Amino acid sequence: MNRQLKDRILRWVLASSAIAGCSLLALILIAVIWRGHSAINIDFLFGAPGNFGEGGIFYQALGTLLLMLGAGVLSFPIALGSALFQTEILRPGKTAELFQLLMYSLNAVPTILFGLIGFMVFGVWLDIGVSWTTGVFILAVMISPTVQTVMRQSIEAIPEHYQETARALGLSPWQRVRAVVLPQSAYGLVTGVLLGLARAAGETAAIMFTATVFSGILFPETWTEPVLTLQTHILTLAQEAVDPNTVANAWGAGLVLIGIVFFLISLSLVIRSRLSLEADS
Amino acid sequence: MNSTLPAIEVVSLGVSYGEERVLDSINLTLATGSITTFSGPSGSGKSTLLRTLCRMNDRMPGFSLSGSIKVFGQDIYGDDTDLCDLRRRVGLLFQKPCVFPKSIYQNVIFGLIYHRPKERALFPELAEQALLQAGLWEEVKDRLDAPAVALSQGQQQRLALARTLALEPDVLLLDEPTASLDPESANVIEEWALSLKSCCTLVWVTHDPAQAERIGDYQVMLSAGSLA
Repeated sequence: MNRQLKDRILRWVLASSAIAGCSLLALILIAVIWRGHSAINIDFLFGAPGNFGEGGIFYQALGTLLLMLGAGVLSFPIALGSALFQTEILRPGKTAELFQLLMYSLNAVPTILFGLIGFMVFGVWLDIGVSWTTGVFILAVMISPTVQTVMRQSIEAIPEHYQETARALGLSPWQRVRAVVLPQSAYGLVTGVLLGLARAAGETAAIMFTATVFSGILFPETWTEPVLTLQTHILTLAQEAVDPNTVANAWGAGLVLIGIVFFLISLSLVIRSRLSLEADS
Repeated sequence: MNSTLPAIEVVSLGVSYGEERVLDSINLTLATGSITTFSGPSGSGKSTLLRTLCRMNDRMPGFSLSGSIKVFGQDIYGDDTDLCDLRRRVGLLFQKPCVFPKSIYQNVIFGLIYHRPKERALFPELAEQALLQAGLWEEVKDRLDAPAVALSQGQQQRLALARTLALEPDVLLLDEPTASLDPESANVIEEWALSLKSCCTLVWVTHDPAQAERIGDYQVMLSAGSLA
C-alpha cells in the first residue's frame, strides 16, 4: 500500500470518528427539539406546575438556576484557592503531581456517590433532610475539580516571564496573585465557573434524593426546604407519564435544560476566544 | 547600605539540580560600587550563579545549595531572610525585556505599589527619577499613559530597568541585558551602567569578551560550573 493511500484511509477514519461524535450530539438535539418543541409556549415557560406533568416549568427552571448559582458561588473560592495553592505555593515536583492526581480522581468519582455521601452527612448526621442547601453543597463539591482544572490551566497559561518579573521585583505570593495572576487569568477563571455550572445543570443523580422533589412546593422559603428542578421533573415524567401531552412536556423541559447548558457553554467559548484574541494582540 | 562591607560575599558555593552539579566551589567577593562581569561559554553556570544571588532558583525542581552567600553581611539563605526585601535590595534584569500589558507609568510603579504602598503621592516623582536614571525620560515623558508594549525592544528593556531602579536596589543583577538589543540600544544601557556605579553594585552576565572588558571593573570567568 503506498503512502498516499495510507494517508487517505487514515484521514477517512479520523473524519468518520469526528462525524460519529458530532452526529450523536446532532441526533440528541434533533430528538429533543422534535419531541419538545410542541410543548414550548409562554404558559409552559412561565407558568406554575399543575397536576402531574401539566402546567408550566417556571419554578423547576428557577430551582435548577438556584442550585447552579449556589454551587457556582460556593465552588468559586474553593476552586480558585486550590488552583492558586497548586500553582503559586506548591513547588513543581511529586507533591504537586499527587495533588493533580487527586483532583482528577475527584472529578472521576461517580456522581451518585456524591449524592450518597451528601445524604449521609447532611440528611442523616446533620438531620437537615432533603433540602436545597444540601444540593448546593453537593453540587459545589462535585463541580469544584472541573472548575479548579480550568482555572489552573488558565493560570499556568500566563507567560512565565510575568511571574518571574514580579518575583524578581520582590512581590510576595499574594501580591503576585493580585498583580499578575488574577488580571491575566480573569477570563479563564470565569470560563471555569461557567463550564462547572453547565456540568451542575446537567446533574441529576447527586441531587435526586438529597435536594429535590417532584411536587409539593413551588420555591423554598427556608434553608431546609427542598426545591423543584428540571432534572427531577424530566426523570419523573419520563418514568411514569403515559399521556402524550405529559410526555411532550418532559421533552419540552429537556429542551429548556439543554438550552441553559448550551447557553453557558457558548458563553464560556465566547469568553475564551476573547481571551485568546487579547493574548495574540 | 554599609559601604565598609563587601556588597556580596560568596563562600564555597555549590549548586545542584537533583544529581546534576551546576556550580562548584565558587568563592567571590564583590566590592561595593563596582561592576563585575560574569562570562563563560553556554552552560558554564553564569546565569545560575547570578540568579542564586537573589534566590530566584529556589523553585527550580531539585534545587539544592551548599556554602553561603552574604549580601552586605547578611546570609541570604539563612532562615530569617525576608525574600521580598532581599529581591527589592538585589534587583534582577532579564535578558528578554518584559513589560506588563499596562501603561508606561503603571509599569514603572509596578513594584512601588507593593513595597511603598503608603507613599503613593511620591510615585510620580519616583517614576520620573527612575526613568531619568534609565535614560528613558525624554522619550516617554509626554506619553506616560501610553501602552508599554508599543515601545521598541530597547525602550522596553530600559523601562524594565526603570521599574527595578524605582525600588532603589543596592545591587543590580543583569542577565545579558543587551543580548536581544540592537548595538545602539546596547550602548545606551552600557553607558547607563557606568553612570550608576556610584549608587549601586552591578553584576553583569555577558557572552561578549569585549563588552566585559569595556564595562567590568572585575571580570569573572566561569567554566563548567567553576571559576576559570
